Amino acid sequence: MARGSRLASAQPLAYSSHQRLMGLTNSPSDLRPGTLELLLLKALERGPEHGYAIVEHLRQTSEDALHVGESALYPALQCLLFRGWAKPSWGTRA
Amino acid sequence: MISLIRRLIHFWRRRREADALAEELEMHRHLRQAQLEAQGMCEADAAKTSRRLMGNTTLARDDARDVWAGRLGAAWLDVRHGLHALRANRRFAVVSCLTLTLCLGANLLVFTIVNALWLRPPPVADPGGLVMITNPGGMGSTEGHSWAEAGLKQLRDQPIFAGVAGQVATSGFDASFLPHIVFERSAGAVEALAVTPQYFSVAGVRLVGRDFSLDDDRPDAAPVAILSDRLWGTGFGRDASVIGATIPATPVPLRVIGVAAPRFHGVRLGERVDVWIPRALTRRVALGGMARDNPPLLAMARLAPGVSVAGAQQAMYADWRVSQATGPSPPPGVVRAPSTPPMGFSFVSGLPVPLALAPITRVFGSPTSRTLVVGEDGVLFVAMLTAILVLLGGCATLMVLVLVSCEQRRQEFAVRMALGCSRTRLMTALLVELTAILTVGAVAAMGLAVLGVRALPALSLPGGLEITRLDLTPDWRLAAFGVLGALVTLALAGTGPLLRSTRPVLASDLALSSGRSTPSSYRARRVLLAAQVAATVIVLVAAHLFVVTVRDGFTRSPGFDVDRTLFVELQARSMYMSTRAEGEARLASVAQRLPGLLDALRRVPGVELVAIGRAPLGLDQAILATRPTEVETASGTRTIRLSGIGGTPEYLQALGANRLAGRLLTTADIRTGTAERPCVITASLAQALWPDGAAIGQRFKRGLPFEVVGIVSDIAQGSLRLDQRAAVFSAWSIDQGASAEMVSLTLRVTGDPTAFSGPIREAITSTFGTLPRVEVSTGREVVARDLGRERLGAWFFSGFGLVALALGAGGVFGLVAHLVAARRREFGVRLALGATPQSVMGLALSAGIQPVTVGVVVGVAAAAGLAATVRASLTGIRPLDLPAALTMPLVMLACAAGAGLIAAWRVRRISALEALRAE
Repeated sequence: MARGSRLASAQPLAYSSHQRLMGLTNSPSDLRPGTLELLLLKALERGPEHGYAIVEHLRQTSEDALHVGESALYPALQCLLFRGWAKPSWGTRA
Repeated sequence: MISLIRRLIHFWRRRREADALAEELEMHRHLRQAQLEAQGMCEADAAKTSRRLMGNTTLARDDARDVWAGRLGAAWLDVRHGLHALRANRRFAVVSCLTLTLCLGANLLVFTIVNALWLRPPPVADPGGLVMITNPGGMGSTEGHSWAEAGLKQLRDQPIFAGVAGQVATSGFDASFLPHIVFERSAGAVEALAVTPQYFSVAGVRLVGRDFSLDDDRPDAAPVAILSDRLWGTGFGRDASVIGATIPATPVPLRVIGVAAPRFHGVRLGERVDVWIPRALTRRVALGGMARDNPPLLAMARLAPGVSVAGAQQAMYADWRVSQATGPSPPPGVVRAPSTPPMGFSFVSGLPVPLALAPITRVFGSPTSRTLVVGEDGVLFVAMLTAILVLLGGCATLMVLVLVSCEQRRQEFAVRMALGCSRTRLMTALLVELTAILTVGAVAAMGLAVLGVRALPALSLPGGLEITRLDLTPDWRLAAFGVLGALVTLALAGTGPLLRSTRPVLASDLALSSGRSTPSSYRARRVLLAAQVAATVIVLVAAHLFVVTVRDGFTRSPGFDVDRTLFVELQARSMYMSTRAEGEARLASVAQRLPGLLDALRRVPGVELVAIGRAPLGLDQAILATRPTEVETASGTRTIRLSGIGGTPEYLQALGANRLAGRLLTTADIRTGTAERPCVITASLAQALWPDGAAIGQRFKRGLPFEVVGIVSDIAQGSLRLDQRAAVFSAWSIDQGASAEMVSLTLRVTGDPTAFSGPIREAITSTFGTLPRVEVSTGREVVARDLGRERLGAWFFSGFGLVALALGAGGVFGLVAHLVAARRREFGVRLALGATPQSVMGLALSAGIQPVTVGVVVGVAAAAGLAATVRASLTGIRPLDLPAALTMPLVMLACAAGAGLIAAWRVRRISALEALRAE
C-alpha cells in the first residue's frame, strides 16, 4: 500500500510557465512554456491522481510519445497548487 | 495579494511541505521500481534504474520550492549567496567597510555641523526678512555696537524696517546683565533673555498668550515672563492654567503671559532660551545688578515688505556715510565709549563704522559668546569641500577594491555564466554584496559621526563659535545625507566594476584565471589614482600648515612665557549703568581692597610675582591693537598700529619679557596726569620708530609724552594672527590699575599653572566676596583660545589628512593588486623566460607608484598655490616652508610604496608553468 497525494482539478485552464522562474532551467524542453501545465490539468480532469499516475496517463494517452520527467513534473504541479488551479490531498491507495 | 498570502503560508509551513514533496518523490520512484520489477528486472537493478530515470530530484525540489518563493525568494537567495561570497572574501569586505566608514563618517561629521548651522532655520515666520544689525569689523563682535533705546527708536523710523526689537547683550563686558532665574519647579537656573516689547512680533514667532507690551517694560511694572514650549512641557507638564498664573521663582515671582512656539529658543543660532523677560526686569534679576534701566541691546529688525537685505544694507551705508561726514560722532544710538578706557578693559565703539545687516539664519550667539556672523568666511566651505574630496577619494578606493575583487573572481563568474546564469542575475548578486558592505559601512560611519560629535567639545573655541551650543541632534536630514552619500558611493564605485566584470566571458576565462584589462580602463584608473593622491597631498599640506602654526603659537610667537604665566580677570559690577558719583565711589572701594588681594595672592605658595595688567592676547586687545595710532617723534608724526599697555611695574617681569636694552620699569616710573612717562617699548616699535637703533632715551608723544627707558623683545598683541608686536608699556599705580568694573592681573608662578586656579579663586572670594565674573586662565589657555581657529583647522585637516592618506594607500594597494591580477599571464611568461620574482615585483610596483608620483607633484604644486589663498583668508598662518611641507608628500609616497609592495607580493604566487600551459 502506498501513500501519496492526489490532485483534483478545481478551476478552468489558464496559461502559466514555471520555467521562467529560475535563472537556470532544469531541463530543456521542446514544449512551449505552459504546455505541461495544460497537459497536467487535462490529466486531472479525470479525477484525483498522484504524480506517478499522471505521468503514466500522459505516456499512455500520447502512445509513448510524451515522457514527462519527474524534475519537470513536480515543479509544474507546485505551480498549479500555487495558482490555486489544483488542490492537494493525502490519501492511501492499494 | 492572494499569491503573497499563499507564499507566506507556504513559507510558514515550508519544512512540512518540503518533507511532503520528498516523500511523494520517493513514492514515485518506488512505484517506478515496482513497475520495472514487474517487467522482470531484479530488485537491485530496478532500484538503480528507477533512480536514474527520476533524474536530479534535488533540482526538482529546488524548482518546486522556487515556484512558491517567487522573486522575493530569489532575492533572498541572492542575499544569502552574496553574504557567503563576502565571508569567503573577508579581507576585501573588511577593507571596503573600513574605507566606507572613514570617508562617510568624516562627511557625516562635517554635515552634522553644516546641518546645525545652515539647514535648521529658527522657527520664525519668513526667516529671510529678519536681520541682526551687526558690526562687521572688530573680529565679528557686535557687542561693541550695543544699542541704547534711543538708537532703536531711530532704527524704527527707518522706512526700510517694518519692525525693530532688541535683546539685552550679556556677553563679555555685559556679563553682569545676564539674568539669573530659578523656578521652584525646575532644577537649577534656566537660560533667560531680557528683550524689548514686541520682540516676538518682530521675530514672527507664534505665541500662546501675548507678547510683551510697553507697559510690561516700565520699571515699576509687575514682573512677567514668556516660557519656551520646552520648559512649559518639562517644567509645568503643559498645564494651560500656568498661562496667566504667577509662578514662584528666585529672585522674583513671575507671571507667565505666554508660551512661545515649539522649537523656538531665541533668534540667534546657539541660543537655548527657556524664559524671556522684559528688558526693564533685568535690574532685578541680573547677576551683577544694575543702577539704571537701560541695558545695552542687540538690535534685530524685520525688513519692510519688498526690501531686500542688500537694499537695506545700502540704505544703512548711506546713513553712516552722512554720519561720518558730519563729524566723529558715533552712529545714532550707539553707546559711546569713554575716550580713555581705564585699565583692564576697552571699548571698541570709539569710531563710527558701517554696520552690516546679517540674515538671522547666519547669526550665532550665546549668552556668553559674542555674536558671530557665520558663513562670511570660507572655513565651512573649505571643510565641506575637503569632506567631499575625501568622499570621492573613498569612492575611488572602493572602486579599485571592487575591481580587484571582481578580477580575482573572474573564473567564478565565467563558470556561473557558462551554466546559464544571466548577466542581470550576476550583477544583482554583486550588487547585493556591495549593498551589504555599504550598509555595514554606513552604520559604522554613523557610529563614527556620533562619536565625533561627542568629541567636538574638545575642539570648541572659546570666544568663537561654540559648536556645543548648536543643536547637533541627528535628524532626517542627517539620515538622508547618510543614505544619499552611501548611494552616491555605490553608484560611483560600483557601476563601472559591475558592468565590466559581468561582460560576456570567453572560453579562456574558464581555462585560467587570467583577467583581461583593457588599456583604456587601466589608464583611467591610473588617472583616478593620481587625482586622488593630489587631493590627499593638498589636505596633508594644509594640515601641516595648521599644525606648524599652532606649534609656533605655543613656542616662538607669543613673546611671553606661556608655561609660567597666569591671567586673572575679575568683574566687580557692570560698568555701564552707574552714575559718575557711584562709579567713582565703587572705583575707590575696589582700589581700597585691591592691595589686600595682591598681598593675598603673593602669599599663595608658588606665586612669584603678581602684577596688574591684562593678557596680551584676547578679542578686545585685538580690536585695540588694530587701531591706527598717531605717534609724534623728533623726526615727525607717523600713524602706526601700536598697543599702549599699562600695568604695575612688575607686569613685564610677570610676563617673562626678555629685556634687550635699557631697564625695566620700577615704582619710581609711575606718573599721573600729563607728566612725561618713562616707558619700555618692544623691539618692533624701536625698529619702526628709530631704525638706526638708538631708541633708549628717545622721547615721543602718543596722546601723552613718553620717554623710552628700555627695550624688550616682541610680545604679540591682540592676536597671534595679527602679527602686531609694536607696544609701549608704562607703569601704573594700583589706584590707576583698579577699575570699578574689571581688574586684570598677571601672575608669574613656578610649577604647574593649572594647579593655582583654586587658591587664586579663594583669595579673590575672601577679598571681594562673590563676583559676577572671575576668570583664571593659564598662558597656554590664552594662546590656545587665540589659536582656536587654527587648532580646529589642525585637528580637522590632520583627521581628514589621515583618512585621505589611508584611502590613498588603499588605492595604491588596489591598483597594484589589480595590475598583478590583470597581467598575471604576462608576468607568468616573464617568469618562465627567466625573469626573477623581484624584477617582476618591481615592475608591478613601479606601475603603481608612477601615478602616485604624478599625483604628489601635482598636489604639491596645487598646495603651494592654495597656501597663498589660505594665508590671505586666514591671517597668521605660517608661510609654506616647502622643504618642511615636503615631508607630508614623502609620507604619502612611503605609504603608497608600502601598500604597493604588499600587493606586488602576490607575484610570487604566479606559477610560470601554469601560465605557459594556458598559452
